[in-house]
Amino acid sequence: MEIIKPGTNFDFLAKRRTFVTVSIATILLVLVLIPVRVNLGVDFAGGTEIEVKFAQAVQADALRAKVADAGFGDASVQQIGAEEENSFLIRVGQVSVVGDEDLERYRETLARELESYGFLALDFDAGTGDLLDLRTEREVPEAELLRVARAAGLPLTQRDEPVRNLTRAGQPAYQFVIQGLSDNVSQALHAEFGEENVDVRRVEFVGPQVGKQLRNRGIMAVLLAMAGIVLYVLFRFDVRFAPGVLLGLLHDVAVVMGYWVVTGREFNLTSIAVLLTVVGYSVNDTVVIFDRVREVMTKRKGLSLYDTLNTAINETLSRTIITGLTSILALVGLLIFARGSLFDFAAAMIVGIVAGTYSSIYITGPVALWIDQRVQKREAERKLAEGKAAQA
Amino acid sequence: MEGRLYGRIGIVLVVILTAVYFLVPTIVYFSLPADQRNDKETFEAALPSWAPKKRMTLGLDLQGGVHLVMGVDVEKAVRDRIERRADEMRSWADQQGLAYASIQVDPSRESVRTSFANEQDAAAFRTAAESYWGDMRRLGGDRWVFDPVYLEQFRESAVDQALRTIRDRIDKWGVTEPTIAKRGSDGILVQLPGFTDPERAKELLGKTAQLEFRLTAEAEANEAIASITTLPEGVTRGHDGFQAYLQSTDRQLLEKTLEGKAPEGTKFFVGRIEQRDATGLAAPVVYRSYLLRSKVELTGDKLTDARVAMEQGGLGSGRPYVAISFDNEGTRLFGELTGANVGKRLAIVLDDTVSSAPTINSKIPDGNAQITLGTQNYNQALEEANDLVLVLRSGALPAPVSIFEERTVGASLGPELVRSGTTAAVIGLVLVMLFIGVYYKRQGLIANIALVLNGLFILAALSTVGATLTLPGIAGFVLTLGMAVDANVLISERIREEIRAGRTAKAAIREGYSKAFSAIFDANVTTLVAAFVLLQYGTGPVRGFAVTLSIGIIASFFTAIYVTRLVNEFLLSRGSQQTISV
Repeated sequence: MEIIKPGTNFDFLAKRRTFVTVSIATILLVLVLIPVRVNLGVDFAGGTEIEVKFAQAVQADALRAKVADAGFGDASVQQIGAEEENSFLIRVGQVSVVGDEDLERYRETLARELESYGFLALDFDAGTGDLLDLRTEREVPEAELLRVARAAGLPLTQRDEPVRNLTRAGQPAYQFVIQGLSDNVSQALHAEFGEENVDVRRVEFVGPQVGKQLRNRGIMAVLLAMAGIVLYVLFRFDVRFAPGVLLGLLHDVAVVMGYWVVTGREFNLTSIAVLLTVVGYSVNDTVVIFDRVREVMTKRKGLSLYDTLNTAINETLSRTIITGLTSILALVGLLIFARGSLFDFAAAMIVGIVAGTYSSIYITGPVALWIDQRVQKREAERKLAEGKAAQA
Repeated sequence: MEGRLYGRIGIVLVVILTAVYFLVPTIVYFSLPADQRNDKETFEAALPSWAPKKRMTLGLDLQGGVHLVMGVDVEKAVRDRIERRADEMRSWADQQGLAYASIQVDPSRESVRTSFANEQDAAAFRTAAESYWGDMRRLGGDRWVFDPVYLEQFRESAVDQALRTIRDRIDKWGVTEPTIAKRGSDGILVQLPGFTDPERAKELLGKTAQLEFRLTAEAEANEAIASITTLPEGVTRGHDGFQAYLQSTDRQLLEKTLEGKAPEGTKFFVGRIEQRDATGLAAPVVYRSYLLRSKVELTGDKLTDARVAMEQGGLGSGRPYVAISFDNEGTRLFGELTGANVGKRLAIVLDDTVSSAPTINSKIPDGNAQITLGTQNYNQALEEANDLVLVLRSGALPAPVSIFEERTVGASLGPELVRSGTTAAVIGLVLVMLFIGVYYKRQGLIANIALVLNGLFILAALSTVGATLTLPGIAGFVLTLGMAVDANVLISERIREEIRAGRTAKAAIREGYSKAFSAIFDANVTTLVAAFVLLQYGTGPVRGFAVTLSIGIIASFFTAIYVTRLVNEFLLSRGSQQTISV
């Protein structure tokens, strides 16, 4: 069986200007759209994500209202899986149940109530969101602390040790332990739907600093992989090929990012894995073509680079298509059965495989050709100039 | 030629058998019911004695559990440290009879400012303080800051002490196969498989450590231990020269055995026995009992510092010991305590775990105590001293921890994901194999052998390194196999080309393999580059994907090239393949 008949001879390079222009335009367009359109998941944006499954049928709108009632107005509620699964993803951008206004209120109350103990400060680390630091001049008994905290309406944890005594060397210091946000949401849901009907299946909380760190490291990882690959091409093949490989990789990353730009699905850690795999895959195709270029060059000396590239692409076309197909076939099962981030993994990967196949045919070669022509032109000009100089 | 062929077949068979051998523990693990898999004894009982021990585990995303990254508030610990130092300076100046106007931490909480009633006392303080507190530096005027090198060490030890505290607590609950490791400069990664109450975990791990000093109850211990006549299997008796104790490698079992056995006014605690074999490697942890008085003599907040120091001069010169100092109230209490109990042992207990029980040699009136270590071995003593300092500091200068990251998967989600993940994987693989088989005919079938073997090798390698199987890992497994077929696609396409060029079957196969090699090699290396970067970047589930991808690529060199070529040559040698089917 053959999909691509032997002896094909498409002129892939004829329309190269159009293809390269379209690719560069795509890269630029996606770059502009990434900040506005990509929906960063909790991994990168920080926040809390909770997956719940209900025993009875629940409407997304009703659930959204309940979550808003519990004090999370900005929460997004999204149904996942089939409708009869009654599974939802609740995402809250906040990290803590304590907001700025709340803190101000607590501070006022505590300053008033603890005046006789010499209230000094009430601090809150928004980065972690579950601890309030209190400092006073004189030691405050624990019972008094609890009383004051209740009076101020602090959402103390339900577990033991809501107050920690950190007094050291005669410097009174205390910590109030605040109820975790996910706990707060699940409690509200338990109260509303009955504890036995709510199954909290997954909780993901990522603090804002960690999110930022992961994001920066993700960008670094993608850049590093690209740099590594370009270096390898420089070392194993020809300097003229490297810029095309780089442009091809940028194109593939942009198109895969385009998946998240268009669908608005959540961009998370798995997405970085997709980007890196696509980078590796796309270069796979390119390397196979370049390998053939190397071979054609030694076998048929004197052939122009234009013809050499076209021959190499045509001769490897069958392999390029078949490998793309097997890789896509491997993902079909995931596309049908997986949900959530793994579905996106498969879908974006398929987009990436198609993009990688396209870029290794239509982008890397033409750029190599263009660079070769520039170099030769300059070489000719230099020779011409040298000749003139010699004549003069 | 024939002989060499059989030799190579032998090699392949040996490799396959080895892979299967390494897979045995994983197969045993997954054939156990889900709720018994993680029980060490059940697993070991089910495992044949000849089998290796390492096996794959299910990731937290597939079996449920809590993944936490705790952040240590190092800067807070540093600020507390400087507050304490100011306190020490004040009491020391009092002792020396130096008249200070004020010794205060400045508002930025980075330095201590001192000012004295007269220049004479100020000068005396400067000279004495500079030699007394070697870890501090005097800036212009009378501002004191910590030496940056010391501060760096202090920050590091703040993370270490939090790590130690967390490890001890998890140890105490008996969670099976927890992961506890440092991450970055101030993070601690904690993974608790099967534990699905994150709030409870956060609560227990975030608590401040409680350090207590309690006297031992030697006579009562001897009696109480003697009165326990029947011991459960795995618990044995011992005597440390002062008191009898029970010991076991199973902490929970030991605690259960001791339950309700303590005489009035005393309480049983558990400590670790550090055991080393001849090579100095740490042996499995053994826990032992200590019988201590119920009364807490002193608590950690009275401690101002603990550090490792070296003995100067005398017989034990150069031997490490632990130096501790107390604040004013602590000095008084410690003086009374040591004065009344010379010759007895004082146990240091952190979070209900005894870390050491040194003997009180004499009354210590000035609040500066030395704890010498039992061992004569220098390295071991240094290690023990460092550990004890971490314990003492956890009580004296707690480094508060908070939650940086939390991922919890409930028990109900995991099995569902495993089911849908494996179904998806099987469908993907069947599709790939069908397609390759139909498209490349006999060469396709041979490629499918390579694919199956590649799968086997990936699983065996994951099993050997004790890797974790995650959901992205399953996806990576399928995708890797789908992409690794590329090598056989390249070879088959080459063989087709060679046949079109009019070569015989034998020559076509020879040429096909040799010409395809450079393309396969370069293509695989570039994919490996990306996979290695991902390995460095990824954490948890994503890392599992990168590991699978890397192993699959490397294994495909063997399966896709060596094995398939061998099958082809074998078929040729048998004469059944004079024409080629591709």
